[in-house]
Amino acid sequence: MSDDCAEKTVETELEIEGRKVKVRAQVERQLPPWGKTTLVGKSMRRVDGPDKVTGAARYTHDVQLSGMLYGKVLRSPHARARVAELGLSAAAKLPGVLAVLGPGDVRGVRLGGQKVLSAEASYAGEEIAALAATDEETAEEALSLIRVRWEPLPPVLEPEDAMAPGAPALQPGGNVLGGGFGPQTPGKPEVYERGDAPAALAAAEVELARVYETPAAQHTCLETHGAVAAWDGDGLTVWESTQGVFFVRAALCEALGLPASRVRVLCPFMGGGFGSKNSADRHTLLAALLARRSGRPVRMVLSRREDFEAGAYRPASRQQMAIGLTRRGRIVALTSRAVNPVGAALEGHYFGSCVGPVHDFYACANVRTENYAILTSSPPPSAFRAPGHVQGAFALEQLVDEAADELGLDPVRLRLANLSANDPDSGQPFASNGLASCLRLGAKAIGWDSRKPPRAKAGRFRSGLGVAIATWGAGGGPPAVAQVVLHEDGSVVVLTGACDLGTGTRTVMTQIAAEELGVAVSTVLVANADTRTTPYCLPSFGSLTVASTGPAVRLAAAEVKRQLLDAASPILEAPASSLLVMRGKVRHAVTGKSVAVASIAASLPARMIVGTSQRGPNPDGLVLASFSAQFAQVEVDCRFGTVRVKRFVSAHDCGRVLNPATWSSQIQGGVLQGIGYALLEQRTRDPGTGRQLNAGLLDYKIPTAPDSPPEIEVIDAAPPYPANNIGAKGSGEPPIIPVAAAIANAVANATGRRLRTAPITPARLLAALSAEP
Amino acid sequence: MARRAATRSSKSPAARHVTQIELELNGRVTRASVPDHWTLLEFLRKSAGLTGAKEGCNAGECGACTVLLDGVAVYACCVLAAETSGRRVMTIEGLGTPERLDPLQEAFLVDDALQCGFCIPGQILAAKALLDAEPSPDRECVRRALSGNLCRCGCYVKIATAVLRAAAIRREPER
Amino acid sequence: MKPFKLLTPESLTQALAMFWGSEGKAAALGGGTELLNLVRTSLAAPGMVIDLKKLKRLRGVRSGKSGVSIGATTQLSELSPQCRPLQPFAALTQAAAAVGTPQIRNRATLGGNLCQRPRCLYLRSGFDCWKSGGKQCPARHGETSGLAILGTERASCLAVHPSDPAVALSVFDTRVKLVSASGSRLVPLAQFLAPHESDAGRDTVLRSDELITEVRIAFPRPGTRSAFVKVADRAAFSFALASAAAACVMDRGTLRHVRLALGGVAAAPWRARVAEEALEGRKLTPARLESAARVELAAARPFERNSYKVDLAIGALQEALERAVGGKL
Ligand SMILES: Cc1cc2nc3c(=O)[nH]c(=O)nc-3n(C[C@H](O)[C@H](O)[C@H](O)COP(=O)(O)OP(=O)(O)OC[C@H]3O[C@@H](n4cnc5c(N)ncnc54)[C@H](O)[C@@H]3O)c2cc1C
Ligand code: SF4
Ligand code: FES
Ligand code: FES
Repeated sequence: MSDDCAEKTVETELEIEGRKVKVRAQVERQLPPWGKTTLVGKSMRRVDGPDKVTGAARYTHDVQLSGMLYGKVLRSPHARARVAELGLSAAAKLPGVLAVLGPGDVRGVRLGGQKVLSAEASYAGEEIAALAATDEETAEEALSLIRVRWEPLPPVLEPEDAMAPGAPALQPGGNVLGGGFGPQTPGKPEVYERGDAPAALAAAEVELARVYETPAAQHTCLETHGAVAAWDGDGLTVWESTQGVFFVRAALCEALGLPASRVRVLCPFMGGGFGSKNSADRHTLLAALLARRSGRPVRMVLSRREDFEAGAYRPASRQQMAIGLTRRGRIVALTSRAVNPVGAALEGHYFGSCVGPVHDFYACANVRTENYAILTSSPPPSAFRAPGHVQGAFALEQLVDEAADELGLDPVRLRLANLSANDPDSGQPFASNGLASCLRLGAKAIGWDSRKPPRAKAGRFRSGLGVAIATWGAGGGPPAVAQVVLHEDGSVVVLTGACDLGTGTRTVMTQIAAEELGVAVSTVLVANADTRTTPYCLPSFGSLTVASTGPAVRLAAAEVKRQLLDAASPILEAPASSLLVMRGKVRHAVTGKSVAVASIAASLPARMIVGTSQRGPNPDGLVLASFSAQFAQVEVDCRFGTVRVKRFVSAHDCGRVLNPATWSSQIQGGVLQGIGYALLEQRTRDPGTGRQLNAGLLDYKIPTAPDSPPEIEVIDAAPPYPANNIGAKGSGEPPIIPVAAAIANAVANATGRRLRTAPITPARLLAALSAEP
Repeated sequence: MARRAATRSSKSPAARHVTQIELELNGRVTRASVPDHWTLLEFLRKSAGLTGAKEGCNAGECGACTVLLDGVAVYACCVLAAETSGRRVMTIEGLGTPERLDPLQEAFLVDDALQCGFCIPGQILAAKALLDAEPSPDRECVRRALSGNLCRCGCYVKIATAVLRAAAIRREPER
Repeated sequence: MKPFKLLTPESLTQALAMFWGSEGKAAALGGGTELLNLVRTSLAAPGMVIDLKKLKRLRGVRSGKSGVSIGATTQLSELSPQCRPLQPFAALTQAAAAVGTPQIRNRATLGGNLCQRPRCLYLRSGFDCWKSGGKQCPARHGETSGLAILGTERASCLAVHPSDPAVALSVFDTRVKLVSASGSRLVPLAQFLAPHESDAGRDTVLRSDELITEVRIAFPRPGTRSAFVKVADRAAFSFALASAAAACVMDRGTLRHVRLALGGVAAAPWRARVAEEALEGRKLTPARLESAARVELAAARPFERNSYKVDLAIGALQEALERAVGGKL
């Protein structure tokens, strides 16, 4: 680092998955915003696309090492039980079985505070024993030879049961925790308060109280969770299908007592994460432990059933909401009491907070929320694309529509009238806010003006329009380090620890580096997600990768350019400040005299230029958020209670769009997951035993191609965003947040019936249609 | 007909019943000996070194393992490897390489019809089966033909666009 | 998957000999879309799997004097409207096209389709129950949303029959030919799918030494029109929440030879005889059709969470008949 300010660090704030954290950041060199760009902002093909369309891309599932064993896990069939006896010897004796582990073998190993194998099952699917064998058939046969004597205990499955007096305590502090953003307080909800909501509600001209319910929904990544672990002496290499190689490394180091230098975690390609793959999981540790015990590499890839049963889900919610308004439609009070059943443990698991939207979406002076996390005999939850906000928006954005109906106001106008110029929570200004444009442009695109009230509709097929909005803290921030290397032939390597989940990270970083350096994208290679060779960053979660790593990459490229121009200056006999890089050449701005980048690099004593930079602090006093407004047009078949989404418009402010092609793909993907959440998806369990009944892709229903609307229109409604040097905010999560509410609102517009429970299934819709309005 | 070698082995249950197969795999005659109970997907991934076909469910419920069997799209996890003797199998590796892409692969890149990419080999092969049978499908027809291929990243809109683009390219007279 | 031995007979005689005396240790392999899953989930553990696809006589659709014969290993994708002999059986081609996904239809055989095990969530999640050899039904007091609503009064198992084609075949005179080394029998479809209640673990009357060789459908009366309707929450990869098939002759506005069947509501396709009677010989009006459907469903005994199936079945019956007569009511 050559800058004077390099030594200086400051405290800064960043928001991860709806939760604000303070970190220290090194003050960066200020780069002026880009003027006219030639690469950034243009649709460019994915750099890893050719590998993905030809099958050349190697995912964790595809890793094959010589001598590799297949690892399998024995899981509890009981939601709550003690292992009275565990007989592993028959399994261990089976020829081909090279390692077997029970709870006693891994006593000291902890992951997020939890054991990796447990003699006390706290949910169906919990890991009890693990083994590795030369082939899958042997491993399966060995599993069937494990003898367990269970002492089943009565499970506590529903939050009402867990909260009932006399319910068995699933953890020492009891079953009731404050849920969501902060640390949990046993026995107490997490309470948020601004103004005096109860008084404002009581005094409001109009008050509505409603209850909304959402299901447990599962990520269902097409590549199931998995790891391949191999030891080389006391060094460990792990391929993991993950969103964050450094979090996986940290978990492995902590659990196994290894130095970071000895643990290498890689993730060249991964088949979807959506929040479920933020760190190491038990299978990761078990793969490493079995590999150590057997002296052979171990592949531990979860079957689809295990992937569902072992956890990873958005918890269900029950939200009791109230809204107070003036007759003219100003929101004066909002309250929510939310209950989230979160499974067996919260330590080490973040699931978001469904009351976030109540705090953040509207200018409302009086807000009170109470948020409960309730322990149950189910797997622990995890972050799932906009954790909390998806549930919360389903409730709040319907409540606002119900209020609009009550007042006879247009839902778009009502929202526009209640948008906040400043962040409603902190009162600080937003760095940029395009929410009103999202609403206006989206309304125009869907043809909102043609929207008719439900009473104007009749017959079997009824069409309706719905809207909903989202805000999401997506400004990113440190830590994120990037390195740019210019090699002797002029080719460039960008090193970043960020995983590309299919979001286009590699492609966008290529564009940023090439733009800043003035070289062709074809000369730039992004090498990423390898803890041994690439620099540190947070996982790709919280919509923060572009806005965190992007600025660091630009800075590192700028640093390389600075050194390049310095080196070119004597060759071109001109001061560096008069030189620029264009199309692979360093050129004098006036005379046009030029020299190839490659020949400068080759002439350097080091034969290379290295630039390393890190993401600087976020600006003080500004709130960084992305915004979205979404519009659904649905057709309800009243005979069968089915809903088809005919058209969808998704308008966004996420700052500068770096690559419209990859960006719109991500938006459309979020919309589609939202459609699944609205109409299809829910974890189903046996009410008696707590075992999951739909742990497969046939019965846990995610949308298929014909379930998608034929087109999903994506609109960029962003004003300029000044808060980082690339002008971009995150867009991974906003697209899923309002979808289900927009669809429920459209169904209400079509039928005059409110579906306050997701998903909107034929059973529920038919019941609503046959009930008195 | 496939020759059969029923061998008893204490080593692994997988080796108990084995069949010798000879099939045309991606245009090449391939001989192998496979356990009778292995699926085509297991054979491709574990033994033939072809990992382009993915395992998303191992139950016929996702489409990630889609391959062409005598030109017809099937789930490789629902076909026994031993059944493929004397037949033609095409996996994504047989369609094109990063240097020589098939028009379908090219179209998927042009339209950015992919995200994580895990479902994409299956999507492309299902699309190929469609276009080989129906060179001029409309969007609705594409959506139905690809209804057996889940994409959790939600690329369906762009995938349909890409398939329609590829269809148009394939219809162009040879230049 | 638990290892097994694969056999590929080249003649029916050879195949039947393999099943003879196999005592249930042998399983026939059609398309494998069901069998392999059963083995993977330990719902079946055959020592021998016998591939029927080399048996030419079991393949294809043949037209005869009194009807058509569909070979047991004929794939569902071949039961298309383009298949000329099937043109009198629109409901069947529509039902075949409604199954699963294109890849499933490319492999799944009609014989295998009729031998499917229930898709009950409990059975498929490894619970001990009647259908997995046990003596209880955990679904009865559990998650009931997928269970049957008709014919459940004395039933042990409450699962619905999963097949779409079977519902369509139920509105025609369909018989299943079962052959073993010791002889053959022609069993009406309804009987084929109705094992005795004391045999609650079984789904059909097929014996362990028998094969389905063909499915025979008699030509309906000239002028018969038919249709199949499936209601599902997801557009593909979905079994029916409810389905219906209808066949009838329209004689100057009057319905004759009405046959109606429901799927997704009972242990086997449910012939809606009450509704048939209410409509037979009458003019078709929307009100009469709806009331006929309602009367049929008056017999439904829904559980806690599946009463929606009553509405779906009523709607499906109406829709099937509406479509059969060409939507003109
Ligand atoms: C994802 C998915 C979705 C599906 N959706 C639907 C749907 O919407 N509607 C629907 O109707 N079905 C659906 N199915 C079921 C599918 O239709 C059946 O799996 C298929 O028809 C079975 O035929 P197969 O040839 O593959 O049978 P196999 O798997 O080969 O065999 C199934 C059973 O039948 C026995 N068998 C097969 N042939 C014979 C014979 N000739 N004589 C005696 N026994 C025989 C086998 O031993 C085995 O027990 C779906 C299946 C899947 C996996
Ligand atoms: S309904 Fe039938 S298949 Fe389902 S659990 Fe009960 S007995 Fe078993
Ligand atoms: S892996 Fe074959 S369909 Fe999912
Ligand atoms: S691109 Fe990720 S599942 Fe389709």
